[in-house]
Amino acid sequence: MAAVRIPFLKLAWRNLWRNKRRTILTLGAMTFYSWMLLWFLWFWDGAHDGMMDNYVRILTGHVQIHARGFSDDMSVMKRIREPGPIVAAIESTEKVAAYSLRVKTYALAAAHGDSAGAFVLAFDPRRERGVSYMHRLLREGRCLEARNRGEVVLGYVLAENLGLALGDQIALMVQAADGSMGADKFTVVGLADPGISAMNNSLIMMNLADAQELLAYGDAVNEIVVMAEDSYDVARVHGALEEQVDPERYEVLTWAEAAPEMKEMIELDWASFLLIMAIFTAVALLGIMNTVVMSVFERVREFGIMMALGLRPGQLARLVVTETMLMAFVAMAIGFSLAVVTTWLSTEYGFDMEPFGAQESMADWGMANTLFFAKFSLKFFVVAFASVLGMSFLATLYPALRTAAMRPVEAIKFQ
Amino acid sequence: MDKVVEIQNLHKVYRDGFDVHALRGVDLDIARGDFMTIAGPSGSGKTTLLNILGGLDRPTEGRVFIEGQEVTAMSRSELADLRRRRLGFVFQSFNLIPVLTARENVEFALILRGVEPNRRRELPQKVLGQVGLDECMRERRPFDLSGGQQQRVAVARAIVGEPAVVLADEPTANLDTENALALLDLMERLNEERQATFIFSTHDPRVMERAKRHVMLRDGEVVSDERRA
Amino acid sequence: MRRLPLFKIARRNVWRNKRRTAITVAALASAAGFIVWFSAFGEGFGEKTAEDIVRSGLGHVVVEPAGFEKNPQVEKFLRSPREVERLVEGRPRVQAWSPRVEMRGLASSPENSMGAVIYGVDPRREPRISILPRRLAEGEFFREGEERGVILGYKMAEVLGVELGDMVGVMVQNVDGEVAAEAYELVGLLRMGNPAFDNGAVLLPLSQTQHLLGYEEGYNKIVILAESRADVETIRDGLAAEVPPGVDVLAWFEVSPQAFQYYGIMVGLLIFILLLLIVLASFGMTNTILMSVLERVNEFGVMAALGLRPFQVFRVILYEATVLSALGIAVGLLGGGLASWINTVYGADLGAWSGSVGVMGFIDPVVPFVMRPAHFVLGAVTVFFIATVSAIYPGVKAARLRPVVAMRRV
Repeated sequence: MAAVRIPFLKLAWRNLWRNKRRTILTLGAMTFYSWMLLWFLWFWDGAHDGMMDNYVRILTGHVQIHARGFSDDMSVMKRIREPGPIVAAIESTEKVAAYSLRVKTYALAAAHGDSAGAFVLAFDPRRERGVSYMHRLLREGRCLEARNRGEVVLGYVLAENLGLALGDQIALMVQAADGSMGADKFTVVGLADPGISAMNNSLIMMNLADAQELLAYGDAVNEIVVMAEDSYDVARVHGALEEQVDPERYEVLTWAEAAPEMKEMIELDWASFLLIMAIFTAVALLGIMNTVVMSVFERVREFGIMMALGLRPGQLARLVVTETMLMAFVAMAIGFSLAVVTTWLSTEYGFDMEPFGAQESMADWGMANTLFFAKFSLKFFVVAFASVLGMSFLATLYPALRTAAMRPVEAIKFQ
Repeated sequence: MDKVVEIQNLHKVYRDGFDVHALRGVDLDIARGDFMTIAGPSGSGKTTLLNILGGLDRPTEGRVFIEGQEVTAMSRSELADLRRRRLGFVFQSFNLIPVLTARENVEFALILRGVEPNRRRELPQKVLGQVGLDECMRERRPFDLSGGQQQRVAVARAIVGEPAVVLADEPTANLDTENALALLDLMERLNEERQATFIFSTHDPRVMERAKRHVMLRDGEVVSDERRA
Repeated sequence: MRRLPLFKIARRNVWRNKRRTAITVAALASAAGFIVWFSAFGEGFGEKTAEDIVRSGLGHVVVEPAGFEKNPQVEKFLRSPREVERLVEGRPRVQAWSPRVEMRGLASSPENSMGAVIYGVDPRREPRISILPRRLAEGEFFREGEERGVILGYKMAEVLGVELGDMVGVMVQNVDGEVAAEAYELVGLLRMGNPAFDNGAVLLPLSQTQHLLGYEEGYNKIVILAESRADVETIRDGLAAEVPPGVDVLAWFEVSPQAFQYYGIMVGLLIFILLLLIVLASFGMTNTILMSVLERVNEFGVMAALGLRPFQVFRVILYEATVLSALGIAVGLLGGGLASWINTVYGADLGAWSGSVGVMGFIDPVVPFVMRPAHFVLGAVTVFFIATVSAIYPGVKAARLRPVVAMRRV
């Protein structure tokens, strides 16, 4: 005797087409759910990537190398005296897209008798282009040029606070590495809008050589920023660099270590997303369960006949589950296609929060950009796939068990 | 006598607020090849008896054996297996699985019995021919068949697996005389050719005339058991 | 003409098939319940967001020298604040108030220095209007009568490389245009989860800042906490009419438009999600209503055979939907209301989802729900509307069927 192979799929498929309206409505709910879920996942992921990218591009880079302890207090004393060997190590590391040598320090800026605390960021403009958006943040005037000396670009709010315009002089006072006070005057050649409140009112950008002179650094720098080719390569580049530099003297940090608040913020955002998706799933689940329960109770007599023919309880349950799962697959085919289209649209054109008047509050949280782009990824496709399947299965579980528990005499009776 | 069905001291009490004694000690032996009716007024317990015989319901007390196996001691899955291998059912109406065509309905019973694909294709055609369903009707779904045609398909499905016992509940109730007689001819022939046992629950005189044995139930007890010569 | 008992037929139809009714009512009730519950969550979340913003030092209403918000110069301060204090004290709907000095300056340690916003706070009154005193990662808040020490944002302390007990220099320009500097002992670290505070806030006792800036009895802000956010405009407008010239009265959303934006985004997002939920739930509701009618087309065929006119059949079906939605709404509002009520007492713990809610500046990650009559109205109206609209199509369909056709379909 050949093995019993009940054509569940055929039966389920035909059963679905018996009640087209119900199937279409249930499919509608499932499709809507699949679409929203996948699109939102891709969008959320993309938005976070965008936030992170912005943050990284402006503030932290993917990987940072400092003298040990610099990230704790930004002391001018903690510097990389000989950047040469580290640069050589970086250049020999795979998946590195770009790097830049920097000097960072706090300073007191003064002009027209007013003064303000400032944050000095010095770099070689030619190298910096590879790692950060600094050159794109210009609002007025021009960018720094490597061949000119004594120039600065200011955050525009800082300039406003100090009453400075293009061409004006600004005095900077810093603590130098030799313990003295370094002071010099610079010419304002540009105003920048980094879009982050804390930077708008404090950023001063200058050429690396100027800062090295101001701080009495010689050839030293205090930060080397490295960009990986892709955000997924960060861990690899970080690991490779950590192996190559002396851990006693240097620290190698990823962006997440350098900016834990951004990481926390993204995690929190995922948490609230999860909560909302859980509610979403519950609503979808209840709706679908309802229609499945209805379709099962409508067919009590039919299930009775099948039991009389000798179908086992488990096989009946399987038939009910197969029907719902079949719908789930059709719904995913449609819903995920829609998600691909909408995600493609939102990767192409982005979703701008600016019309919602969000730029200021987001700048407060360190988000310079109000334009978000979705991002395709296999990972979240798998997550959505598993969620839809899991939700459908849960929705069908109760009716399927009810079907299996049906006693034949209740389902069908001799009269 | 080759006993196909053996019923010993069967009791069934429905506890639904107050106790209803549907069966009060039924003893009955049914021989292979019997072609019999079970009759009785409504409330006599014949429905309950057939339900228990088919493994669709369980008795309060007593035992039922089919081909020596104790039906009353079986699990739900074992009962399902028994039904698919040894029993055939014909109900009064709504017999067929609506999403399957006439041929597929018959084939379904074979699939459940684990019959290999080759035979599964031939056999339904043959049996549907025997019950007199035109070839052009065989790929139709039940909704597109008349009541008589549906009943023929149901009979074909019930016998295609060569069950030991066919339980038929008012199989002719919805049929005109011509169709009813044809169906009875068919079942009689199968009974003779294959020694299949047929148990009818019916009052239809057309069936009573053809049956070889009449069991009469009243108030849950067998009041008469006559064999026709 | 004699009136047909159409409504009674509908009611009995609903009762007759208990299981079908149960399924349909369950669909409608869960939709209504979810709407009520989620609205209460959204309301609670919005409320908490706004309240936390307000209580992170902003206050509901602020009284300050004219033009201070736009250009916070040191010369702008309330020289004789008693007059304004009298207007605020005991004012209806004012829950609490506190004087404040806010000024930009420089904080420094032997190692480093950085720009900061200096807050002069009243040790006795501040705890009543803001959560600042309760958000210390280390150390203690200023004590009344013992007005010494300084509290820094914890990140700022890291940058300056100072620990509790170390001295921190604070430098400002005083009211005479001279640079004033003083050193204070670090007594506490503030951790708000908001970078503006954690990276840039310096808290000093009010009297110390008055001394440093040369303000004597004056200060530059009165921060008012209203009994409820709904009272903000009343208080602002009332005060604005009474304060002397040269004094501004601003509501929180005028002081911090970005905080208001953030609140607006949150509320907008929640409304958007609520809409999506309603769409999702509508599929299920429509389906059950549709099915419970279409399943019984033959029954309506019998009615038509008895002589009911098509429009009367249609009305029976619509009445049924009405009865069903009334039941669903009743059950749903009760269930949703009960669940929300439990959540008003035991708030939803968002912290269970992530350990890092601190980022948003929540006092604690528990969001208590807030119930409003409008949520119940929304739930009821939505379900009633969808149930009724869902019944129109099958109603028309059943009314149009000729009796013969209807009865043949089983």
